[in-house]
Amino acid sequence: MEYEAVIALEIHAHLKTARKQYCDCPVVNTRELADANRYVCPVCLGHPGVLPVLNRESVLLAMMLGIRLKAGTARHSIFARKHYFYPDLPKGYQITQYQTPLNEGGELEFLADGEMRTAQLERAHLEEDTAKIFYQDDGSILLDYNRAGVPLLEIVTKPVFRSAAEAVAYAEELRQVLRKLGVSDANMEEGSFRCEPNISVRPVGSDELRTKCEIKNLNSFAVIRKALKAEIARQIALYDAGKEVQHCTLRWDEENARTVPMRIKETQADYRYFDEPDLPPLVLTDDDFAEARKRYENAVFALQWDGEEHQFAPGSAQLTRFFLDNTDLRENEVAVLLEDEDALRLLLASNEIGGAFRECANWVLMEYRPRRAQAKSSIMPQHIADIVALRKEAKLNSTQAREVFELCFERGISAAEAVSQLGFDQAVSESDLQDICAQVIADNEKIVADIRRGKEQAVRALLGQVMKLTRGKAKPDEALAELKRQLGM
Amino acid sequence: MKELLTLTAHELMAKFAAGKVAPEEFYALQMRFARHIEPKVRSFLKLAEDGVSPPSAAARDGALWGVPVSIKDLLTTTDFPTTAGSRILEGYAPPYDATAVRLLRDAGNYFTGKTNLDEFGMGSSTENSAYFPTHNPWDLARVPGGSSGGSAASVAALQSVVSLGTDTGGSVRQPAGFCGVVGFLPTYGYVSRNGLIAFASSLDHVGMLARDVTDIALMMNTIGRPDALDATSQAPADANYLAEMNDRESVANCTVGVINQLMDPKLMSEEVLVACEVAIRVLENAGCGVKRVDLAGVERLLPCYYILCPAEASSNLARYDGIRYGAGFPADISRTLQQHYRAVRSPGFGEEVRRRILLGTYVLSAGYAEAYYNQARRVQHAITEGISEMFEDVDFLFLPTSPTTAFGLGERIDDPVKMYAADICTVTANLTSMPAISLPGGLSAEGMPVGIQFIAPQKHDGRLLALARLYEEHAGTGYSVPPPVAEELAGFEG
Ligand SMILES: [Zn+2]
Repeated sequence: MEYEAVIALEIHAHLKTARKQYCDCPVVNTRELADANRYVCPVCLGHPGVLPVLNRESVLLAMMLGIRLKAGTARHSIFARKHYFYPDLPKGYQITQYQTPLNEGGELEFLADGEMRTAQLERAHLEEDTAKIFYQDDGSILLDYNRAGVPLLEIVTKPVFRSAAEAVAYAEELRQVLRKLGVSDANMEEGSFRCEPNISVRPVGSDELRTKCEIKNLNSFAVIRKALKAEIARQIALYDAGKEVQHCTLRWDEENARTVPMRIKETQADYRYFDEPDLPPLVLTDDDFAEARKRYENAVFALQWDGEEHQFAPGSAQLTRFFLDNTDLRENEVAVLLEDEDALRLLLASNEIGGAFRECANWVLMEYRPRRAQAKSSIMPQHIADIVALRKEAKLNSTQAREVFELCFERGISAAEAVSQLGFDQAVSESDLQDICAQVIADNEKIVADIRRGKEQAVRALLGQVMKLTRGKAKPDEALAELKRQLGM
Repeated sequence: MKELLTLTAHELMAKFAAGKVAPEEFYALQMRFARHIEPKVRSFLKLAEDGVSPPSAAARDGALWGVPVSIKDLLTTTDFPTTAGSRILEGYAPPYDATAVRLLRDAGNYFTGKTNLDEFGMGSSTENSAYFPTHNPWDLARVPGGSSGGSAASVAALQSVVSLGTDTGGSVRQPAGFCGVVGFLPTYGYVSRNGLIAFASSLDHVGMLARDVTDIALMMNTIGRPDALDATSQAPADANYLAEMNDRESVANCTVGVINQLMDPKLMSEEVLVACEVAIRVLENAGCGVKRVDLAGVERLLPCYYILCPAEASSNLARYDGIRYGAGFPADISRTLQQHYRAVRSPGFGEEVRRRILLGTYVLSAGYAEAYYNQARRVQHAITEGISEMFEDVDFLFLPTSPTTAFGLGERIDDPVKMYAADICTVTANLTSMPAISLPGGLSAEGMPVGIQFIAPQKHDGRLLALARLYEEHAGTGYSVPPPVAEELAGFEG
């Protein structure tokens, strides 16, 4: 039988706030054990008698995502306590949103296999993170509460993905959206973007939802892809063998390239939700909506193209589609540019001045980006437009153009000034050219001998030397003619 | 000088102002007597050491100043360990002060110590303290009520002038009634709960105990303030409870509704009903209209309360896992996690607390939440609506504080349901977030205090104090020194 996968994603993203969700502690993403428990207070440690106070900044960030996803944002939502016992949970419950999520529904367009698709969302609600656990070799655990109480947005899709690639493409797009909105750093390695898929498979053509399994602790897109593929294969194999899939929570076993049940066996958890009595209902005002809208508008990407302004919702799918349709940029180049907004802005502005998009893109991708990784850039869009024009008019050769670019990059001077400082605007005089050619002929007896034996192509090697000695200022055809004249060719 | 010990806070503050005695001098005297009588009453889990004095603060008009205050050990203090009356918090040193504690200290008041209570506030007799029971200063063989039994006893036994308590279902008013002092439950959110160790968050109030109504107003002026650390805080920023208490106009010709169902001889003891009828005549003499009113669903009050409050308690007490503080810290890593929880929580909690955690876990469980917890929430709404409707006809409600006077130590400890029945008159105010006050309503034939109670609509705290003051003036049944305390005072060298 042929099967298809049914995948939903639950993504936990840290919201980029200065303070924690329910207390005044700063949010600091520390990694080392030595920095553990520096950013804690009685509230996020769950001391007796403390009370949560909601950080309204996290609400605004979540509302921005709601606007982006065209979700319904509740004017009135409540918080609930979700109970379970675990050492990383200081209060014995997590304050989350249960019956009334802040954002309900919504959708997100993403590119998969070069095709624009739409994922339907279930909800996106506010909650708080738990402490970080450091597992020790002796079997004990150490707890770092720096992370406890960090604002989280849990973003849940409907079971809409049919393949690992599709699910990963959506997750990558959501990460871009969160970053471009400035709502989250969405860094998987640092744990500020955590993805928990749940998967079932079913015969193609069926619309049933079979028993699903959840995979946790996946820390890169590559791992998500591998784990999903392996899990889909595992479930299909079970059904093919006439067996059933048991509901369970899995983790990825990298060594053996398979999904395995988590060590801690979760019984059917009863979280005993009830409304959080310490937090009044979250009521959003028109002012809140206006503020979220204003911030959202600031994150919208606008670009001038053929004298028209185009606007793109924060994220990458729409922009990628635009560049692939309207330029000859390759998909990987678009991806690089979308990750690097300075480079993208520089490219667009250079193109806006003098056109020649592909040439501008080459300068930005191959010259600007590697240099900027080393040093501070002083380059302006006008510089790139001018250099492109000079090249086109053949006033510079490629080596010279790179030198001009370098000077503009370092000192911010105009391309014309760089050309003049480098002397690329001064032609080599006829007598100088004669002297230099004579010199090159004298210094290269072996090549000259080759030429004399009839290997005429070797004159090109001499021309190269002449160009080098004149620092590219000699006109190659004139130099070649002079060489041939002196060699009697 | 020892006769100063029987004064109220406002009388004492007048002496301070007149230079008759200095606050630190009185505090020293207060502590000497508190220690003197403590072995008899056992109000305190921790008495202040010598030399605990507040920062020098200028006396503020209408606020409590220079007065020795005892604090229920369910409120966090940096001066004293805070145990909640539980083994699980034995030796716990809070890193912060409860807001009410901080406000009292900042205003220039002294702390006498931390008073005994039923573990985590769960009980009506203070016998559920994990440490020892407290004795009623009127009859040492009886309970002081609970859970703020230590607080009530400390005020009645002249160990403190006023006390800070907490009230989730009557825990300030019932012991106040049993010990013959005034106990006040402000509107929910009028005193910050920051630092109140949560028992049932939606029902928990910080309350206060004193020897008269004026002292309550002074305390409210000191601690009844908005607090950014409590998201449910809703106190008016500039209320003056003393002025409101003295505003007779606000209660001129007011109508007091007497709840028939809580004056039922089947529920209330004879001596309580007699005292109530006397109190009603006092109200009439004071110019109040009295109207008999019916409260539907009285039989649902206790079931509703005893579902909601264990549910929240089971949640609030989940944090005591011995991992970050308290008993069991630091963890013994040779144990598994399950073993650790068991080793910490089973011996850490007393029987009543365990009972309520189990009850609460049950009523919140999938499959039961609808029948119990959600149903109780609906009943709570219905009760609140019913009472709000009554307040369209009357300005205040009148009812006893408890069905009986103080019962004997050990008498009900093995019968939780009978113990719960003691809360029938007090849970209404908590369930409806309304302010209520218990006042001394004279003595029974056996010489035990009887408490009478008024409830006002939400946010009518000042007006409720005005009614209480009016009653106090006309009744002439205010605080008196309990005979066993008078005896101790007579033998006290000063
Ligand atoms: Zn904190």
